[in-house]
Amino acid sequence: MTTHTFTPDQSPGVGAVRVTRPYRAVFLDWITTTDHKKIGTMYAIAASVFFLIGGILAGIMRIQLAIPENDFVTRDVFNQSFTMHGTIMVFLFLMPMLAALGNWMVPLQVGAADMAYPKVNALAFWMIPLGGTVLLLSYLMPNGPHAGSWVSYPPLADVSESGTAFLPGHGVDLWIGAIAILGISSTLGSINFIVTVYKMRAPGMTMLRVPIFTWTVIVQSFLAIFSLPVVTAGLAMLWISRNLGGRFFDPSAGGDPILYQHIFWYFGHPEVYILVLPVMGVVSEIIPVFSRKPLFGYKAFIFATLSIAALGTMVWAHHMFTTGAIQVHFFAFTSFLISVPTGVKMFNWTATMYKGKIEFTSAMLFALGFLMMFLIGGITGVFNATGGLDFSLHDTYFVVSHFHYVLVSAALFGLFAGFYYWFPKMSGRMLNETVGKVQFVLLFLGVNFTFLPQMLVGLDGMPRRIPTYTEEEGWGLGNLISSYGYILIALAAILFLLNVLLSMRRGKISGDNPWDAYALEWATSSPPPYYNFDRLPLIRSERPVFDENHPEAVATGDH
Amino acid sequence: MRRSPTNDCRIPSALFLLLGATVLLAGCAAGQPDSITEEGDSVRSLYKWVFGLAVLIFLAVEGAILFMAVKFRRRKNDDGSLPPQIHGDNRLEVVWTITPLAIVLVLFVLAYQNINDLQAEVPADEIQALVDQDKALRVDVTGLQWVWQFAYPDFAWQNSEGDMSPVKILGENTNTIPETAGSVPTLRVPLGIPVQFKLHALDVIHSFYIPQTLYKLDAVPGRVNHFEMTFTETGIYNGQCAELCGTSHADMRFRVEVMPADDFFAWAASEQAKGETSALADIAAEEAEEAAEAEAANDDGTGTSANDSSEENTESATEDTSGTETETNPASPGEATSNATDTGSGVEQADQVLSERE
Repeated sequence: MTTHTFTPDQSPGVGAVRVTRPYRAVFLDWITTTDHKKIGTMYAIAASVFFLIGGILAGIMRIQLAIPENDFVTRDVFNQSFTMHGTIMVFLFLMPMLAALGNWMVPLQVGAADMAYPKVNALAFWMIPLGGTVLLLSYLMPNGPHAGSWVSYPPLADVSESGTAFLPGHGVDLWIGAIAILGISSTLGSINFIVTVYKMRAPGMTMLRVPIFTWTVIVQSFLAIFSLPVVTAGLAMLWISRNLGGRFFDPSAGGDPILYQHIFWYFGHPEVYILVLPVMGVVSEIIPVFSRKPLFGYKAFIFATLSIAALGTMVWAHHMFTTGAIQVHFFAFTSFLISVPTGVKMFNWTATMYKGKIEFTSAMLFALGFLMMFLIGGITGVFNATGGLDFSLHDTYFVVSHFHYVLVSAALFGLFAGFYYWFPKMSGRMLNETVGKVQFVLLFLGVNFTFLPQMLVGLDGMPRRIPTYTEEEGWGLGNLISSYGYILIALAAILFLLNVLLSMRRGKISGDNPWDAYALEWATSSPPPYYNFDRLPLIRSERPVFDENHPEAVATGDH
Repeated sequence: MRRSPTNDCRIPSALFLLLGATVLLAGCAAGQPDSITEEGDSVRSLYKWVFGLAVLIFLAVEGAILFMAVKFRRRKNDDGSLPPQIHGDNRLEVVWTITPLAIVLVLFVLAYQNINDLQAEVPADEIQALVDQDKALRVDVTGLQWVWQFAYPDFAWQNSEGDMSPVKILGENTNTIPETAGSVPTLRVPLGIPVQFKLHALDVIHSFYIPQTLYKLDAVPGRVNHFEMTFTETGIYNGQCAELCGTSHADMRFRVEVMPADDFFAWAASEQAKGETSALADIAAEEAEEAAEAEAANDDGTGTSANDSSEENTESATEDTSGTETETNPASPGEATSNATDTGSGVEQADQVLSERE
């Protein structure tokens, strides 16, 4: 393939002549870069740092809850911990990590040299550490960070009639600022993705030949543009209420606390799909490649993705059934409907494996793990969607378990799958497969040990967001098992980190296309040169690299 | 670029066994607590349907995934040729769009009826008649940081200020002692007749949740949410605030004592009578005082005495609450006493807030 000897922007990898540059030059290069691959890498590094912080906060909660009436931390510290855990994991780990994969892969998958707006791309990235810093600075404030949970319902997050804050200090204000910054960052990133795909696709790549991962990033971006500005506006109202006497949510001044909940969940539910859709895309890249078959029902899959996004904007009030201010029947119905396109996806993934020749690489195992865990997340969602059952399950550990099955399967199984699959493309080296399999087993056990007992104590009535519970309630055993499960998840995460750090330098050299994969990113060298492509293959289907490498299949029309 | 064929299906097979064990374990343990209300029974039967379907779908889909993974693994003697490149099948897509759609439509019909069951209430014009015959009861529930207060508007008397004062059960306000679990108020309700709860919130949003009723509803400032329940089991049950409401959210507990209707009404009537007696005594004392004042004709302390008497009322209600506490919460008598002395002012404060807002 490419025989480049020296390029000024070369990342350390195969085929490159290592040129030692002064640290200052390297540093300046990274902080001023507009290269989508370097920005992608920086997104991944930032997200990993925040993942460790969010994970430590989860550890604090698991220690506190491991035994009844524990006093490992105070109630305030506990409340701050779950607030920050939720915020960090959603806004500073999952979204940036998906942006990392999107940045790396979307231009490569559509055959572009970079994103449409490289400088906007850099700006969007640098707002992540900025937002994270603003959020974490609240730990230095007199009353510590926000303790009103990531939903921050007024009046709790607001001020009382007399103007005193229910949560003292400026934790909430910094939190609002951070979410606004991070929301704008994601909106900018989303616009960039959409323009890149619409305007910069390689010749021959029609919209129905765009790889599934890129499709899901597009749909995700539209959802983000529809929903993030809404929550930013809602949080601006909250900030005005807190600091300038806005009283939007104060019933004594004609406001309504339920209004905030509508605004928040109008963003909050699409947010779930913002986090999950690209991961579905990752899995839809991996399962076909390791089954040696095309994705079953490519068009059906795109249609299902669009349906999920459309329905996803119509279900928000199922988070508010117990407010007594909701037409329960309607939102139960729309929530039920979402399981239909999700089911279609599940069946398409399963059918993709039919008559395949499945190879159990780490990436494939994690992808299968995603299917299996996401199914649990989806089925438990139906319980909540019924409306009637939600009156008993809402705000209990059942819900905590439900959305962790959804988001952890996305965050950990799906993203690990993606990194095992694309690490060779990013670095030119393989991640260690043995470590990957050990890590998979640890994670699979860990997730189920952590979240299955939570489901059971939740059914038994344990409310979420409580720092303690009494012994007579009988939730001790479930919580203890759950806390042990946390250790397994933490071990799996640490193993992954070690695997990445060691493999970057010492991993097996991968070659350009170690998996014999299909999409356009595998047509260039690994790692790609800064301009991405020396040449492009003919694009006559959604699998151009497969078509080029397997002329026999194309010749028989069997492609 | 061919990879060496592998035959590593041990992990998926192990997963299959593990999942089987998990399902077995979860199946035995999974379940909501037995319901103690008629409405809860409706939720419970819906739960059984949904859970049954969920288990079937779970087993079918997980089974299909693992079956595919194991059955179509790459074999050791693989020749490296491509498997058949199947791009999809529209008939199948239609089948697996319509099947889940049919399932959720059936579920929706069940859910629809259940929602109607939960939202059914005795019409407003009928409830008064039922209440008069002791065939229904109304309870006002008030949530404030971090305590529950219960009042029975149907059992009220005229106090010395001429206002109606209902029988009340007040929790101890843990506001003043944030790091200690406060003792819990016990709400008494009758068995077998509809109880209408009205939920009020004085500061932030709280949520009135008794796990064994399989129901909760938020108490939202500026709204009065209400719902009805008919209790079907006597006993003492735990309840707890289910919406994060600040530092001591976890301490915002209460208990519900479901008692035979006759016992309940006897108790409520006696509380009402006690209240009436003390109010009459207050009024008599006041009149006597006023008479004395008139005699002295140089005193101007009327306002103060009215305040005094209203505080006495509060105290009598508080004493009653702590009486029930010692019955039901023998775990920490020492703490309870010290709490009582510490938080006496807290309760009064809360009660004052309550009356001011009302």
